[in-house]
Amino acid sequence: MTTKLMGQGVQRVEDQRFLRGQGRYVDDVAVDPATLHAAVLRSPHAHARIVDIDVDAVLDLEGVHAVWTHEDLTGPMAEPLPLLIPHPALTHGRTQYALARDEVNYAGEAVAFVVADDRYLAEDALDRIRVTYDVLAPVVGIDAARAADRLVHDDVPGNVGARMEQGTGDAQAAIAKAPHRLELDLTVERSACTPLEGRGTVARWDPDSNRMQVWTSTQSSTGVRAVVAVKLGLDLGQVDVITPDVGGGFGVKINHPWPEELLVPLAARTLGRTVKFTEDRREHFVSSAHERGQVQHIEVGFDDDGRLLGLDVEFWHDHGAYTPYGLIVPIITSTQLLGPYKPEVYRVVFESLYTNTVMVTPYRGAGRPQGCFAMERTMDAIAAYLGKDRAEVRATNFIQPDEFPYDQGLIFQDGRELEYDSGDYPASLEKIKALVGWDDFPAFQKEMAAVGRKVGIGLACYVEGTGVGPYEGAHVHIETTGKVKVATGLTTQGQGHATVFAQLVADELGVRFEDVEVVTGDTRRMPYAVGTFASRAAVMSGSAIHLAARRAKEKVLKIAADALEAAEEDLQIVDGVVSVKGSPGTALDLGTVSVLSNPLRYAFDEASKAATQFSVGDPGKPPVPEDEEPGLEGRDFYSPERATFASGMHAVIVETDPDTAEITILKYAVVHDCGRLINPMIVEGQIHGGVAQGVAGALYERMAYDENGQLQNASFMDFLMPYVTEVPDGIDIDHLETPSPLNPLGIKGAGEAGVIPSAAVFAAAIEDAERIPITAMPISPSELFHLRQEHTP
Amino acid sequence: MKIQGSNVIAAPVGEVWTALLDPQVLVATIPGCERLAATGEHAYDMTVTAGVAAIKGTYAGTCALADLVERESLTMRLSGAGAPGTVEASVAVTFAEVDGGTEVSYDADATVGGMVGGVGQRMLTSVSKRMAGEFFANVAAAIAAPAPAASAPVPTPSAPGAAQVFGAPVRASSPDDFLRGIAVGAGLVLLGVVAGSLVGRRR
Amino acid sequence: MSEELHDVRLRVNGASYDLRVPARRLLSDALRHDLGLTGTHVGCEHGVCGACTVLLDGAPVRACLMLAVSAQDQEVTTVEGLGNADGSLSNVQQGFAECHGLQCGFCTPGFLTTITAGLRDNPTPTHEECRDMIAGNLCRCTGYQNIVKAVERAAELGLETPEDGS
Repeated sequence: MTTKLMGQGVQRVEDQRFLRGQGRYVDDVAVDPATLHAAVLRSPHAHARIVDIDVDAVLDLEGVHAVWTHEDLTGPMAEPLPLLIPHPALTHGRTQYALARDEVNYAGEAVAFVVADDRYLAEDALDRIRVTYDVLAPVVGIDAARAADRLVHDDVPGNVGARMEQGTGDAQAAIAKAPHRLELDLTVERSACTPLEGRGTVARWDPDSNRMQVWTSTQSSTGVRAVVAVKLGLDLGQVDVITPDVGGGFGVKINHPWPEELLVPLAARTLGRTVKFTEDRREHFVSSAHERGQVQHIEVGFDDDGRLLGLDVEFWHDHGAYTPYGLIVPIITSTQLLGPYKPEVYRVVFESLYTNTVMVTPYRGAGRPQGCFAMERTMDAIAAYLGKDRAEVRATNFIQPDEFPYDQGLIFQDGRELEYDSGDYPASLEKIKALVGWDDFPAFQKEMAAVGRKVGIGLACYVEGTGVGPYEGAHVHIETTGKVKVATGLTTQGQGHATVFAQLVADELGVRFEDVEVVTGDTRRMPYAVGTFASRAAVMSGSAIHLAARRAKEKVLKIAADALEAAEEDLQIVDGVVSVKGSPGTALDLGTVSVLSNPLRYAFDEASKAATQFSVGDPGKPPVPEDEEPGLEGRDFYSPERATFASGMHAVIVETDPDTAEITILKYAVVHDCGRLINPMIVEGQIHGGVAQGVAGALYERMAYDENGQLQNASFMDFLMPYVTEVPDGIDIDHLETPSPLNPLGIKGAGEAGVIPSAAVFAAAIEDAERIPITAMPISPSELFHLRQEHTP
Repeated sequence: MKIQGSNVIAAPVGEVWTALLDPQVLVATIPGCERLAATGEHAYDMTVTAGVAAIKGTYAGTCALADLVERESLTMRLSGAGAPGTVEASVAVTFAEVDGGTEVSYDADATVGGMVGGVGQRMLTSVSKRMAGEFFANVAAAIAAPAPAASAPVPTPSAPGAAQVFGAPVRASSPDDFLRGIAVGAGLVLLGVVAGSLVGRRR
Repeated sequence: MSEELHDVRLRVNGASYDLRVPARRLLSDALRHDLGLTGTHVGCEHGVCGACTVLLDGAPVRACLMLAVSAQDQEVTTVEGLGNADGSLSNVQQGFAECHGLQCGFCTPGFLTTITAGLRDNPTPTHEECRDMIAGNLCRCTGYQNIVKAVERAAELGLETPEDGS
């Protein structure tokens, strides 16, 4: 009996190349003196009209092959980049041009594109381009956007890109009737994904086959392929997009196309050379995407137990200068704000606003952290008001285990009903309380206070809709060597997909893990795909791969049954060998089954002789039976009716220094439920990473824009990414598994879990330590210091 | 692609007009011109080696002057092809007497194809302006201090009336003489750029 | 005008390479583009993230802050030179594999070189010393928990296996 790999912490196959420095990231592709390199001239102004672009001084440089501005773009390339996710509420969506046409709307916007023999020369050329701007006063910050003294886009009144409302009834009336009422005003500041590897694209145009090959550091290979084809006037079939190894994405690489993702292929075709663009760190800060910035106003009505009778949330979302990703982030905030709770009546309305800053597209959590912050601060406020335990108030509002599936009465980010399929929130709460020592904490707090130390504890709960559609697909091919080649179209940025998916195939097919090879994000291998985001890979591709492997297995058994003259139900596949159960002598290895699956005229090696026309087959029947195909392949797709809902709870104990206001983490506990785990080691790694980003977002990271729309901390020196010293020394993790009823393996997503409740949990803990209301995140020691001063009588 | 510009040459209209219609002057003043062969009245085959940034190469082409209105205007039609790409241009040239000499204005409508077309419109416009500037500076110098004689037309023994071929003037062995010739045309803003680029650039 | 090139001999992972590079060519770019040793990664180009860390005569340095010409006459060790002669993983690399100390792998080479030097100088680090050893390298994926474990495991493995590989 082989041990199933599902649920095992199998060591990763990817590590073998990464540890040897043999990963192939986009800048490692086409390392060749003949490759040309691109650089982009970016606007130094947040808002300006372009008057003139003078490239005369570039002529004196050697090694410059092209300098393009918007005028050099024709046809679809001259039009704005696509608005990826339209929505009826997005009445005033705007996207940028591949190169700015007459106006720039954020500092960092692409104005000119240079191609040269190497990056150094390309940057020399950038320095010599003289752009004359007519500088305009920018709109920076949500307050300025709302005031609308100035507009970002002349044809967008009030800087409002969208206004959207959803609800289950008259929340205001419910609040008015409620025994108790509270109002909260909260702020979450902007942050960003900042993966260690920035963006990059390499393209080759092959004139012999009339094909465009693009390597790009993306989260959606099929998305980039479609838009490159359209913009360059190519057939989809002429474009291949290969996702190389990607050094982190966290959401920022789901947006596409970046201007460079179009300009590089265009340059490759125009110049007849391989062209490469990789951004530097500063470019990533000022020309990729940010997220998180919101201002929120909450009104809530509740009873003596803290039950939510009416919840009315209004928020303002800063989406930067353009809206290529539509309204996904604020829609997620609106819907996931509800968390594990069931308010009697809920209404949410938001305005998504333009500012002259870098655009906003999803960052791990994608709007959930903001929603969780709003709800959890509200829960804490209710508990404080009623003098009740914060865990108890939450428990009172939980959807109960027997209430699933629970329809929240809203439309989710996938356009489908927000219906929670499964979960057990009371059980999670018991676990987190035990893990962090919730009930013992008040005594601990008193003990510490007695020796002059301030400690506080926070708790936050979240729900995460994972595995959104429309679908993912998989292809499984068993070759005549017995090796299994698997492809799925979504992409990988460190989640260990090649390992996790190989585990699934090994289990379903009965082959050795080592004999399975998985490829992701290559449109040549699987051209139907959506992408990696919303913690969907395990659910979507995992399910598709499982189903495809099952189809392949069905074919194996059919062919083997025929060859072994046995019944299919009597067969088993173990370590790549098909045998009759209990009769180990009668066996056929998968490679042979593969040979038999493809009737041949021409043998190509010893093994294949067995499949040639004089060796096998019934002369009275067609060699390939009707409704069958040659070869040993399985292909299938998984397309669920709705997302599946993971959940979790975090708790943190912090200490604040009475003098310096430094914030130290004493304990960090996580209980999470992502259904059944394929590889627990990898899931824990995801939680660790998410918690680190959460800690950073709560205490350290913000985008510091000045009133001129200049990003003042566009480097790792000033944007405070955490080192090991900033994360807790050890995270206590406990699991709960409520399998998803929506997919065959019962999986839910885990990728974003670690980061969702962080702002909430830290605000709660600091407030508990300080007894000062914390309404804005992130909070640094100096901010805490000033808050203390403000609240000293 | 449209390019406009004008240059003032410190010489009377008549001298400028005559110079521009003289193939011996043309072969010496068109930047990168290696060879000019008359194929008819005011029509020439040319070989020009020129480059835009990293895309340098040799073009074989034709140049024809038409619509001549003495001392007032003419149209120049250019056509060239080479490894770097193709050029088709129609240039309307007008002459006006001004204080200090003759103002020559050009209004060109050009289509650039092939790899050269890929360098970008503004690069092409810039290089065209530079070459025009070089050209007119060369013309001014040629008028003011006649350049070394173009090599004499080589008569082909066989056919009478055969195309006259003008080779590029035997250049002084040192680039300095050439530069000195250029420097004569004072007051032209582009000179500094032109001189600098000629010294630095490998042709 | 073209740049003046300088002759420099780089000794990387025990092999010598003769290059002609401009003075301003960074060591990170020379390793990656001139020598094709793409294991050293560039995360920030301002010396903060540590992804480009290589060993120069055994000491960790930021290759993005060095000019290739200044590495003349020095021994450079990159991630490609950390494995054992038979192709197997070093104790540090093995520790990372066992403890899931990497996810996307982009920052990993910088950690591996740093820790290789760190454990060579301190083969029996305490838990705190393990954290300290990696406190100058950024990772966005792992949250560091498993990297610390990897250091501890690497130290264990290093004590088990003699240096000479016997």
